Amino acid sequence: MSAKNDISIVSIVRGGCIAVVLLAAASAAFAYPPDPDNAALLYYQAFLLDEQPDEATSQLLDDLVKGTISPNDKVKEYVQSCRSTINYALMATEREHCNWGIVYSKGFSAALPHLAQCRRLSKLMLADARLLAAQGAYDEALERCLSTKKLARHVDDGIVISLLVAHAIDALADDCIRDILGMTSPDPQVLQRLKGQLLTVSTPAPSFAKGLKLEQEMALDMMRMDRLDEIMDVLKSADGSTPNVLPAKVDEAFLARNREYYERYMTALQATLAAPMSYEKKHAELKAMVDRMTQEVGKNPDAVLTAALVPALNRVYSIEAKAQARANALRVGIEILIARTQTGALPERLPTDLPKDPFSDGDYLYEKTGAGFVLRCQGKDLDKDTTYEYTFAVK
Amino acid sequence: MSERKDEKWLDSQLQRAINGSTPAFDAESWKQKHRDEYQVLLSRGGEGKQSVSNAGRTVRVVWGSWIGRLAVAATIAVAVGLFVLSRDGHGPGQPAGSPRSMAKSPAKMMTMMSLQAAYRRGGTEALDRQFDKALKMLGPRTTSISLKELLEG
Repeated sequence: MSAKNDISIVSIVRGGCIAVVLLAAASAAFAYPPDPDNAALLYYQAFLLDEQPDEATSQLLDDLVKGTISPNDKVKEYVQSCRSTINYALMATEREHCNWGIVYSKGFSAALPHLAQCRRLSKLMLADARLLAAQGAYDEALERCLSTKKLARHVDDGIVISLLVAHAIDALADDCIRDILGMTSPDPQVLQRLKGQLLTVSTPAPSFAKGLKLEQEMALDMMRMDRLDEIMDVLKSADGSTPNVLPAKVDEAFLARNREYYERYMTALQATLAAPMSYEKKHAELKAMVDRMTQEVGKNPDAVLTAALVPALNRVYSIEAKAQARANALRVGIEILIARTQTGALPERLPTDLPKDPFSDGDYLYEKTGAGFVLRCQGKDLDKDTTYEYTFAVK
Repeated sequence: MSERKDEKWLDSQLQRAINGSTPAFDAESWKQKHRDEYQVLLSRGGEGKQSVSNAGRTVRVVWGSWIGRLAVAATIAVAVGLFVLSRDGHGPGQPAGSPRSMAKSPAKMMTMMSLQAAYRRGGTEALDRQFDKALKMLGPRTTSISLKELLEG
């Protein structure tokens, strides 16, 4: 009897193992593909789900994002109708990797239609953040702002114009964060978490240097006889007409001389950008180089393509400094708010070891006001002739 | 019968009818026979001459005064301006494929060089305007296609 029992137990176990193996194999056969890990694919789906607002709603959306109006029914209804768009965008911002599929080989003719959509998407997400804050959901509102900053990081794909759009998106997100912090008395944990998340999302800091290198390669590749049409398009888009200094015959010798001039100019520019010096000194050097080249264009045909292709680097540098100033001011503001949660009052002076004002390499000027406090840059943006200040309301 | 043949035949018939001579207008006889009508003709020709000389006098008066010259210059300037505008924004001598005509195509508006040019012209505001303009034309639009249309062969 016991031998018979042993045999039946073994049969049951064997049968069970076979069943498990078959079940596992069947499960694998029916498993669906994983969600995309390329954020761009999710963003593109968000774009396709997006519904264009009418003119009036678009204006309301812009005003709400800038904080100049309070939420109203029309804009709430519109943002709600874009819930799928927002959800897909949020999924995308959680991805590390983002490849927009730009055809870099097309050089300056490469289409970047995603930039317009990203700009719109960022406004939608920040409008949602403002609506959440108005409802008292401050933590969720701050998360929405951080997601928008992640969108800005994804937009920065190494091309100069993309970085300019990324900076514009970042600026709106930072302003929104500052406003939301002023609506509530956030607890220390929320502030510490926000501080950590801001550091993560801003590292590495975006930089034009990478974009300039990429554009340098594209430009040199373009300066060939078989791409003359593209060269003429670039020249026309730069200043609206074909410059007078173009020779009657654009030949290989002309292109070779322009390539040489362009390479020399870009090498000098990039060396200046990378050199450690104060904002004021670097700005002056870059401006001098740009001015010299601009004057030369009228007399020297070798400089024509350089003038058309290279942006005014002193202005680009100022934009980068402004973006850094704004980001640093936000981090300093959060440190002051953290100090307030510890003592119950705003500090009399700035805490130490804080991010600096990039325009002066010094501390921000800190001033308490009736409604909160203001941080002011000590240095001036030399292109806009403006000194920036950042107001923090405290509840 | 062809048309040309008809004419020749008719001419020959007419010639036979009028005794073969080529008809000629006898002005003197007509003047004598239709004296009143002739006077009316003469008076109308005088009026035409009178209106021409009046126009000439008007031109001399207008050009003689500075207000008149200013008015003429303003009229010419307005006409030129309207002419230029009617060419849909293309100034004279502006080559085809100029930035304006390039910018009209939404696809062209979204190229790297076009976006860079927009930024150079007016910073982020100009870039946003170009984005808005392109998005209005490019879309996307909400899907209004029916399931039936989707599956049609």
